[in-house]
Amino acid sequence: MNLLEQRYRFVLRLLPRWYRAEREEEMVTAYLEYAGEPDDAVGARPPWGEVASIAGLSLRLRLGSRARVLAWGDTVRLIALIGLFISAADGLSGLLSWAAVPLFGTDPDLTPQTLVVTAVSAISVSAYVALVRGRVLLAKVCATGVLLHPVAEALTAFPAPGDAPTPSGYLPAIPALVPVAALYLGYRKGRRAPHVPWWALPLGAALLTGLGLGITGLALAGLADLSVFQVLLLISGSWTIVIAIVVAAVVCAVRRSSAAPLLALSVVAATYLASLTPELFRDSFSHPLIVVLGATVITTAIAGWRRLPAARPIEVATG
Amino acid sequence: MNITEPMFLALTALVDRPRHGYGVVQEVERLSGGRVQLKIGTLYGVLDRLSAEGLVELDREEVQRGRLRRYYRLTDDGAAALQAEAERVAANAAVARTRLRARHVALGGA
Repeated sequence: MNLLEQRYRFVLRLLPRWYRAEREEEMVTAYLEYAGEPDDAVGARPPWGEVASIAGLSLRLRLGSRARVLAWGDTVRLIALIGLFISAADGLSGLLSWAAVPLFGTDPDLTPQTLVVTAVSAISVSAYVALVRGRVLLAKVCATGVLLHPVAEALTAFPAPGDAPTPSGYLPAIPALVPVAALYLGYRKGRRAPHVPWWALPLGAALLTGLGLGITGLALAGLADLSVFQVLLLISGSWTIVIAIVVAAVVCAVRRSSAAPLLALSVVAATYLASLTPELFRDSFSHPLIVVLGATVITTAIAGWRRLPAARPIEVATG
Repeated sequence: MNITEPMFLALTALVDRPRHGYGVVQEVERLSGGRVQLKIGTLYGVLDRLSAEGLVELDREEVQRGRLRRYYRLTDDGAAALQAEAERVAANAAVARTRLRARHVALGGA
């Protein structure tokens, strides 16, 4: 093996291993015939144009076939849609609960904090509605506005003096951050979101509201003491969202849906898993939730990956 | 399927007989009058796409002086695709020529 061949084989290492296993010998032959296979190869090296062509081929192979690239694009757009849907359902549920407060014989709380939360809830609903109606720019503006709230909450989650914010302090903001990042990555002007039935949002909000009001009712009826009530109320939203994600994942798996919904659900579940990680060290109450989420993340990721269109754009025929 | 110029020339290079990788590079250069010199990475990208679409397929393998050569041949689908593309290009060229003639006449008459 002369120096030129060694150097060309080194360049070919840019290519994926499976591709080299099929093509390397043939490409080396073609290149050495092209280069004239010089006897004195000292100093000979593949020209930059040749290296660039191998780098381009490598990039195309690693990104995969066009169908695979499209599947990843669909995944990113679904992450944005699911994330904004959850945020909107949560927001609408907050608005409904706020409106339902008089039913419990008390006046609505009108502190500045409550008003901010109410405004954020309304904007999160607007972000989702704008996205499903194809108003991408409006959706991005609203979603970015909504995003400021959980980030601010994460930053102010350490009110006690001497409690320095740690990296884990930002984890609760992840379920809000990732879908907005996906919104910017996956949607350009005029791009329509996948169709979602109109009743999905009211149904999601009703589910969350019903749960929250049910727990509040229990507390007011004296069937749960204050500490249990607070814990229940704190986790009710997360539990409902996680159960909804798990149910959606099972439905996608049973209906043999394409890769994108499964991968998107895996990413969304992973964001909730990350946000709940600090709970692992606080109490054991959330442990079942974390286990269920972890299992969902792994199984949907594996199932989604296996259903991706073939990475290899070709079957290298060998006879 | 969008047939690029390197794909068009590679298909054309395989019309008369099966060729190996470097053979395709040489023939494409000859067919294009030296204008298109396929890099090896580009050649195999082109061959991948053509074989994925069933337009070319492996004809045979040969080992000469320890070097592996794979020969590719045009399939019937490949011949049909090349025929359709050639007609499309010819039709476009004819339209362009007609318009250019009209332009010359108009400029000559002005």
